[in-house]
Amino acid sequence: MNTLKTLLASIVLVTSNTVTANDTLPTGEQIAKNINARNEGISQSRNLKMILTDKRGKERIRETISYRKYFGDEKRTVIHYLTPRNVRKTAFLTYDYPEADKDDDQWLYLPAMRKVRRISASDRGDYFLGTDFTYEDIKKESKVTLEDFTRETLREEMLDGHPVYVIEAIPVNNEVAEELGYGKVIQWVDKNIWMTRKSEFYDTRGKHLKTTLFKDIKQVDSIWTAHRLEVDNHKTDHKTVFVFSDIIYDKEVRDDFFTQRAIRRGI
Amino acid sequence: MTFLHNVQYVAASNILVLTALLANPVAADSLLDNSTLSTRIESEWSVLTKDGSTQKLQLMIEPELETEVGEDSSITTIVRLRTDAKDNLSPDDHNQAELRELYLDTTISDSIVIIGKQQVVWGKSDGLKVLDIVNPQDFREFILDDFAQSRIPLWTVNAEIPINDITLQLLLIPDQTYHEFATVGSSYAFTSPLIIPTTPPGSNVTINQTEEPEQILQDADIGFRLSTFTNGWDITFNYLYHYDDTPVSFRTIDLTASGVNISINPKYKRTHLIGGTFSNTFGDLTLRGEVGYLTDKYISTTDPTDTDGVVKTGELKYVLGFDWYGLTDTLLSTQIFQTYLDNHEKGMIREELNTQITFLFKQDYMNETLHAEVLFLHDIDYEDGMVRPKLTYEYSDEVNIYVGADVFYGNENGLFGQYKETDRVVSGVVIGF
Repeated sequence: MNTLKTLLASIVLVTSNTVTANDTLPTGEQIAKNINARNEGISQSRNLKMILTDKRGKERIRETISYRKYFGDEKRTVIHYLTPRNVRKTAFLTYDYPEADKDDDQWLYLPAMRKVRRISASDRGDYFLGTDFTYEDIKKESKVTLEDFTRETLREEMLDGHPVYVIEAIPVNNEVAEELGYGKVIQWVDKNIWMTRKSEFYDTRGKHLKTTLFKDIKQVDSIWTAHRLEVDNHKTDHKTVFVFSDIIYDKEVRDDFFTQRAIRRGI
Repeated sequence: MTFLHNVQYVAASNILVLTALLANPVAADSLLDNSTLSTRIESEWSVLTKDGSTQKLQLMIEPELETEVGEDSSITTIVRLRTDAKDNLSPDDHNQAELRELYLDTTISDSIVIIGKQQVVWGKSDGLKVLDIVNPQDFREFILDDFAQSRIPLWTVNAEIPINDITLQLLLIPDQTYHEFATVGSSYAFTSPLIIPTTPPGSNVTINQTEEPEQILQDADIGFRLSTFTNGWDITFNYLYHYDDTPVSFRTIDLTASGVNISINPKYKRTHLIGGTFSNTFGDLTLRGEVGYLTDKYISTTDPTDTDGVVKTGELKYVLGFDWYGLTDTLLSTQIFQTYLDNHEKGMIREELNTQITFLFKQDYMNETLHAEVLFLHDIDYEDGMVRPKLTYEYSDEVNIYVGADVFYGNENGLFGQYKETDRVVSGVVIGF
């Protein structure tokens, strides 16, 4: 009998909580801030396997090793390509500054030229080296840019057994929309760990552009980490899968890994 | 066994492994535990548009072996094997086998030290060279080959030392190797009077053997580069004391009863190179530039009264480039390139000021599996130039296919116009594994 009372009480409590939550859903801005406040460690190293599949099913596979480190609020990331032969030793270095009005600095080392080339970081909507992720997606990874979008919380629901908030992000103006290549983004954000589990992207004409899934999310060194990212590009039927392995947080990553001479020399 | 013994052992092993691989890949496997072997195979076919004849039918194989030595050192060996069924580019070299690069890359404290046969690349420009002259160049295919392929690697001691926010690069190059020019009669032999001194008709011309420096250390090239990144600017300051890779054609004229006897005495001369580079981005635009000043440049003169047939001058070169990334997956790039001789005299085979411009269009399609590009170079003063469209398709991770054209136009005395009879269509396959 006590058990039944407890169960009934729980159902009432859960129901009332849901109603209360629906009435007081956190704002899109609050959710975005919570996403950005999530710990991702001072530094990280990991291996990344990129599987690119075209609409005919032909696969291209790239293996990379990457390092990321915060220097104060400035985030520096470097990616070295290990295979295949035709992109081996290609390396990409970026300095992501906290100031919203300051463009990032980016360099690309192309072994065929044996030169480090300075590249513009302003065209954030360009696709990154043949993947379905844009340079902005790669840079922000599991974070978001607060000032690019206005966000509204649509609802809360369950996604694959996880409670999530569903938020709609609209670029603040046409210029940002054109720059990013997105007219709208719907995100499913895990309300317990503040990680995006799914995103639907729409282009600037409102057409469904791509779907991104963040999968195999588990803790590494107490930091929630997605180990698999999948993107379906609905316009091109091209698919990109990122598989992360050997992820290590906060192990000493040398400062000089994030220099032009380091990407020239390779890993 | 000491570290140096290890290095020597691995260097020798690398060469042995590469040799073995060519004969028996299975036997070589056991030597590759700490090594990464990759190979690039390129087959290229070019056809002259004037008559449809095959100009080049080349197969090139480049195995590269990288062996880890200890925790932070490696030895890289690159060998090049090349054969051309047509022999129009280098008639004397049907088959070529060469050790392209062999170097130890290691760290000492925070410094990187690279010792061995290698390429050192300076500069920011595309298609034209101002500071990228540390290594000489192979001109068997004019400037149509990728610079990474046409640069001639040199035995070099190369150290990069970080000093606070500045990196100091020191170079010592005891290797006395210079430009290799296309041989007379080959497709890209120089004929332009901008390069080849002309002699009066009917004169007897004797070209003597080129005088080369012989002392390994005293004649070594030395140089340094300071580089830094500050307030969004990449900046370098470069200095090189080196032998110009083109010999100076000293000339003597003897008037005899039998006629005019002209003697050409080619000799390599030393010069200082002082220069620098910069680059920054402004929104969609990347600005980049480089400038270099050669203190001792010798230019041939047609003035018969000149005692040695050359005039010594300083030469200022600079290039200013703009890369625009405003369109998706597209690069539009333009450069202006100028050279100025500060002691110009009448009769010199080059103008006091020469201006060239370049335009480059690159666009990627199909998730960067298809690449289109057009490079256009134009010499404003000599009114000649070249256009190079190219389409590359990544058929798979291992196989790239390309087709393109090299079209020359303009004044046949110009640097580009001299080849206007060698317009060609090029196609090729590159296999990497």
